[in-house]
Amino acid sequence: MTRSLLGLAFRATVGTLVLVAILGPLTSLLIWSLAERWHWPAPFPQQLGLKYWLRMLQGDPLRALTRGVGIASVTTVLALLMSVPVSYLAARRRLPAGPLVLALFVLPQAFPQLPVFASATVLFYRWNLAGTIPGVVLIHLVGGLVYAVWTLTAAFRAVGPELEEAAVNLGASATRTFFRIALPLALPGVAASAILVFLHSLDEFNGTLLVGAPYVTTLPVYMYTASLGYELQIASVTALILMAPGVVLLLLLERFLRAEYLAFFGHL
Amino acid sequence: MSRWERWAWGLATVPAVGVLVAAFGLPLLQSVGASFVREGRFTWENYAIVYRLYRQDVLYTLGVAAGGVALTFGCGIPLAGYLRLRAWPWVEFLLKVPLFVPFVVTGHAMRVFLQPSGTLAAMLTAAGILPPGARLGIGEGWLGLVLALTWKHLALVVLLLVGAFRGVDDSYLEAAQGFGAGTFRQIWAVLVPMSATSVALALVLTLTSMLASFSIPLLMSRGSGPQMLMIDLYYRFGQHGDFEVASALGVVSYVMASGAVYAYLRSVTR
Amino acid sequence: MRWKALAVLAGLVAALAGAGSAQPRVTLQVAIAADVNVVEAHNNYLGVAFAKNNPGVTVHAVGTGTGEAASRAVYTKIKAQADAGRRPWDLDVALVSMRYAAQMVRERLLHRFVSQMQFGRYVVGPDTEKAFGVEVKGYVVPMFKNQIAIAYNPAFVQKPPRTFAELEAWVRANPRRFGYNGIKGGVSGIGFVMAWVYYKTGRYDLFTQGPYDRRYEPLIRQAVEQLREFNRNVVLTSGNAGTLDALNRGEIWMGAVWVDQLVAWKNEGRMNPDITPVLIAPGLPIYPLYLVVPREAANREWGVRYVDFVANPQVQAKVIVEQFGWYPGIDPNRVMPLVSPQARALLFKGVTPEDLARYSLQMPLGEYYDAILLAYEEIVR
Repeated sequence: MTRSLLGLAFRATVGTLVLVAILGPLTSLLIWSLAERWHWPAPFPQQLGLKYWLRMLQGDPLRALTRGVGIASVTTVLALLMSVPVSYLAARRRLPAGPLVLALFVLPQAFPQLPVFASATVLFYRWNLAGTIPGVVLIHLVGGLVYAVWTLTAAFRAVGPELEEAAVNLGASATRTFFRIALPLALPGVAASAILVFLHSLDEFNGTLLVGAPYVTTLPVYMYTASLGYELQIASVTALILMAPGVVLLLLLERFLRAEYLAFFGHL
Repeated sequence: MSRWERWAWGLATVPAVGVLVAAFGLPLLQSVGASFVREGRFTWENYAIVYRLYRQDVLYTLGVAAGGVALTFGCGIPLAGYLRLRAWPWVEFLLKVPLFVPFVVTGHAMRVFLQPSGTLAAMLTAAGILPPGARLGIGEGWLGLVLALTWKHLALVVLLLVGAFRGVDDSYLEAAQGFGAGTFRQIWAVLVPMSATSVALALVLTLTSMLASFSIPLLMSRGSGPQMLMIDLYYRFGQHGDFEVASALGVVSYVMASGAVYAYLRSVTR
Repeated sequence: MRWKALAVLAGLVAALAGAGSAQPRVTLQVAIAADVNVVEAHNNYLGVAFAKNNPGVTVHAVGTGTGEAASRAVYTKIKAQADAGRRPWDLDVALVSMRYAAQMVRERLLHRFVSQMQFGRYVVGPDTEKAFGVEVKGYVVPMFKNQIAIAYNPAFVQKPPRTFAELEAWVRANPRRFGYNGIKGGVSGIGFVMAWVYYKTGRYDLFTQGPYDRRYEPLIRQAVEQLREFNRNVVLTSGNAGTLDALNRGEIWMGAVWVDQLVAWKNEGRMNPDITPVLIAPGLPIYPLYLVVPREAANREWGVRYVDFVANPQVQAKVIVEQFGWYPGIDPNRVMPLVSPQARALLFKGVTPEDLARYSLQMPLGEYYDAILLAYEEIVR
């Protein structure tokens, strides 16, 4: 009896702590995004409203948002097209120079990004890619390809070679087998991969900040500038917009997202 | 596969490999090379400058990352273990939320939350814990950084650990219970040792990620005192245009990340 | 109201310039290495009015960020195109900091255009002739000038300091109530550090006129060591906006800030209107942002005309001073008579024209500038 009471108290305490710790910072974003007037030292805003949300619908922030969505779409399509052959071959252990190539697709996760991207910026200036949208897409592809290759490899592996072997035995070519059997069966994995890459590109900051300067501003860079300029309302609205797609995804698809996909989000 | 097909498939992998070589491999090698060059000549001078100006920052970065890892695992292991032993879906869901919050957003959220007259101070004032007009000092220094880094990384750690702990067979836990082991004893004596590899991997990944963190300290820094290494690097590169010293700082960070590099390489060669 | 004034102004300028004939379609690419409000000034006011006078011409301004990193981004872009031998370059006009304008002049990346401007004769002052020791005359037109000043909150500071010595004593008596943004958070902090070195060494002429000599480095280091002591009782913020925010919240009672941002925050209603700037002896730096035209700009002639438009005393009075609260970039004797009395009063609240004449200082020569920053990085941290 005392034991279960103690257990209940324990759960209540830990639950409250988790709730406050996780939601506290996110709630402050919400409060700031609605604060039309908030003068020190009032603990809460004197006037709440949607003014700053409406400001997001025009001018620079809207441009940053649409540009970011455009860049993310292009990045997603390119990353999927490029990574499907690599992942399929890797899943069937037919990748030429396999370990070496696969190492190339894990190292961007392990190395600190900033010095590498700083160096990439220097190279991109030489190639006239710095400050251009193709340059930003290229830098987003680094992370995008890594996510796509690993999720797709897992997806193709899950399909299993048995059906394909049967098709080949019946005389179909390997390529035809891939398009008729492996790819359709792996489509859910391809969709998950597309969502991952899209979110990665939409939220990418380090590379965009360095390579996109001076002309290409996406939403995360815009949020950073606004936050440093103490435009805290604008920055908070932008922050909420940036995290919304991911959290909605978590709410809707929690059951379907496999742990290994989720793990990639940790690196966003 | 026919010969022709093998060639076609091999060729189809070239774009992806090419992109990674051009936008990651080459820059990585270039930064290592540039760290040994000044005015066109081989030199150790860049490293001498790193030592002269930034040696304290290297230690500070290690300290903050160590603190972050300690706090993350100090909270993460008990939480993940508890979630393995007893279902608690809404807490598990909440703990996953930061996975989807980008690093920059975390930095900004923590900045408005923890700054001296930020929303945490306001909430504590409203709850009567702090006197009106009081200011909190935790957001400014290393403690604020540790809290922010932990907030972001805890989600991934819990996710990885819960996954690993669920792989431990129930029979071991039942046996431990038979010996009278309570919840925490089961976590420490059974779950952790039996998932040692996963715990170690999660530890290395978290440590490396914290050492290389950039956007969170960028948004939370106050301009004084020691800085995280990536902030120094950005300042050297962005404001001074000093690519060589920035690269030397980069190489220092590569060395710090070598544990993760090893872990990742092992995962593909296995 | 504001639009009506601009329309009238646009008509006036059109009549003045005798423009209005049909022109080919041109998009002027303008890069702004400054805060969002400066980009807004170009896109929403100056660019609109210029396009109205010159049918077929649109002005497209993009911000490249804040602080010196923003100017460096513009410089790197132009330099990369020059090095690659590409022509024409894609930027027509750029607004850059003094430091990078000087560097671009030295590397021959800029067009010498001021003599071709109708209002070129109003481009006057020592900062239009030399910048960081580089001869920049003819290459640069200040869009506006910006002064670093000490802002204070009269609710807590009854008697603001008039000199650096008084400031030092005040900070000792009121620990952690004065703030500035160090050297990594933007030029207002850098400017404060330069002013401190001028104050402690008393060698303003040497540092701004030269010659450069390494012998003076111990002098600099000594001043910076004293700054380290001073900093112990100071709050170092993350940037100019951080200082303003801390002032506004009462976290600090005094701070070194850009005057223009103080005015801009007040205009937006974000700032306690009582916060007042003062200039203290021996002075603090004034730092212009220069409009420049790259040497191989695609629309070079239109670029020159656009800069000419911004340098028009009418435009300077209505947009630069009245709308945005900046000090005029060109000869103030031509501009200030055109400014409304209210705007004048707001502009000179706290910092009078006499203060500006006496206590506005130049930035040091490039070599001394670098030496001071290095000493700071090493000693203060």
